Amino acid sequence: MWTRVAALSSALAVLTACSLPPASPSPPSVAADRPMNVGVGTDIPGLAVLNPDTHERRGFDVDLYRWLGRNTTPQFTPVEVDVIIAQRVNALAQGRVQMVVHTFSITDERRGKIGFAGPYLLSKQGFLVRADFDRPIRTLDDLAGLTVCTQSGSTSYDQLTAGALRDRVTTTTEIGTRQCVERLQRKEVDVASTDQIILHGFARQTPGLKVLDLTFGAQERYGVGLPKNDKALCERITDGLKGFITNGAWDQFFRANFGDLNAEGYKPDPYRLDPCT
Amino acid sequence: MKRPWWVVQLFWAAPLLVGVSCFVIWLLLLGNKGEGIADAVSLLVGTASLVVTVLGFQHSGAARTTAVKPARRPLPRWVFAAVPAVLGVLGGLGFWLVVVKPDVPVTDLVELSNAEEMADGEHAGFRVPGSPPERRYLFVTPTLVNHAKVGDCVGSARMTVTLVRDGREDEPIADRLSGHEVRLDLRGTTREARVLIELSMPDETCRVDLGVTEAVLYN
Repeated sequence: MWTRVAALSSALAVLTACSLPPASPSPPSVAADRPMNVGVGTDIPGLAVLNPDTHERRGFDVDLYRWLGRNTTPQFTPVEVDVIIAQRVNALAQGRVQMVVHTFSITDERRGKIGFAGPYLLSKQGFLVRADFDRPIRTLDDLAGLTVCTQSGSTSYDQLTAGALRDRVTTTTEIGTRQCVERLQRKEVDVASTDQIILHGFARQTPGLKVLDLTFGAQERYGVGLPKNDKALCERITDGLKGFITNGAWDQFFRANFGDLNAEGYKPDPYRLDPCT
Repeated sequence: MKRPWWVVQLFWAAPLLVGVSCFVIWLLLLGNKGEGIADAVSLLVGTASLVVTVLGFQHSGAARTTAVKPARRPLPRWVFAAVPAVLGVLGGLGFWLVVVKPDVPVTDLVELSNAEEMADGEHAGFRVPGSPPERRYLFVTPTLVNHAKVGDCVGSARMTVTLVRDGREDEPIADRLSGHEVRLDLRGTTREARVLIELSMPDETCRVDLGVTEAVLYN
């Protein structure tokens, strides 16, 4: 009799195994109170700056991941890992970091490779000029014929060369926004362009520069980069961001890093954060 | 003390039935529809039939070995197998003939209008194939595509889906995400049903194409 039972059980087990869908790969979430590698920037005024002498970090992004470490459940201790802009996606995909908080625009293209929680900050493309620049610029048409510097491989470059400004400005590229700002100061270019919130950071740090009240292109929605398919971590960070925006911390850190800059246009709707899928 | 024969049998029959029941419930919770439900239920019915049949054989054997003074002539052994088998076949046949109707894939028949280069607040729509549709429910998966390299358009988009049956709008189904299924109840449609999809995106510069990756009519 037991032979028959065993045969029946085996047959059913095989049937069940054949019917089950393949389990989706899901990396393990970070456990409670453990250190978490966070990819950060080092040279973006207002958002993330590393002082090489004191090793102190300052900026809105820095304030954000430290706040998340203290205020999400379970808590985590951020271990800062310097990541250059071009390596943000790879750093996550290769597992060098579990989180990236580094002026990381959420895009549909990037969503195919990594996950995001957010947005926590909004910005459009802006323009930075010398304060003594005497040509009035009120519309995009006024930029015609000017030389614009932007970071190579960035969404800013894509939009300068493919959008409304295509063939109307001369676009030149540098490896970073700081290099563009330095060329602007040396009068080698007329305008530096990238996310307007970053330009405000440079203008605040560098006397003699001003940000134009003019934007273009798609809305940049900064998110916290996460490993793909880690839904639990995504939901945890999204809940944290909602609290960060609603409880006054967002406004406090924004004022601390950008001074009197009007937060309108930069602050996301905490009740309309992206879903974790 | 010797246990009755049926108690011994419960050691394997009960876990088997409970396990298969849980498996079937899990299959149903996955969101199967139409034929999928029938397949899942068939698995449970088939397993139950098997268990009853095996128990029948065991009972027949147990009765033969343990009965000391049979009060009456025992039923032939084959009856214990045949009765449940016939009941199972009749039940399954009735279920298939009365309840189950095959699903009707209509993805290729869906013709969307105003679905290209959609911006925030715009509407697209399509007519549900069939006048009236052949099944009670429509399962549809609307999907957005952002052709630009920039922009967080698809991931942040929400869709509001409204079924219009014979010109009357049903309660809208809000906050649907791209690539997630929507189930619509077409019951009571006498002429035609239409589906309206309103797009909501936080970035006004976003332009996306709406498509339907799957549409199935089912009961």
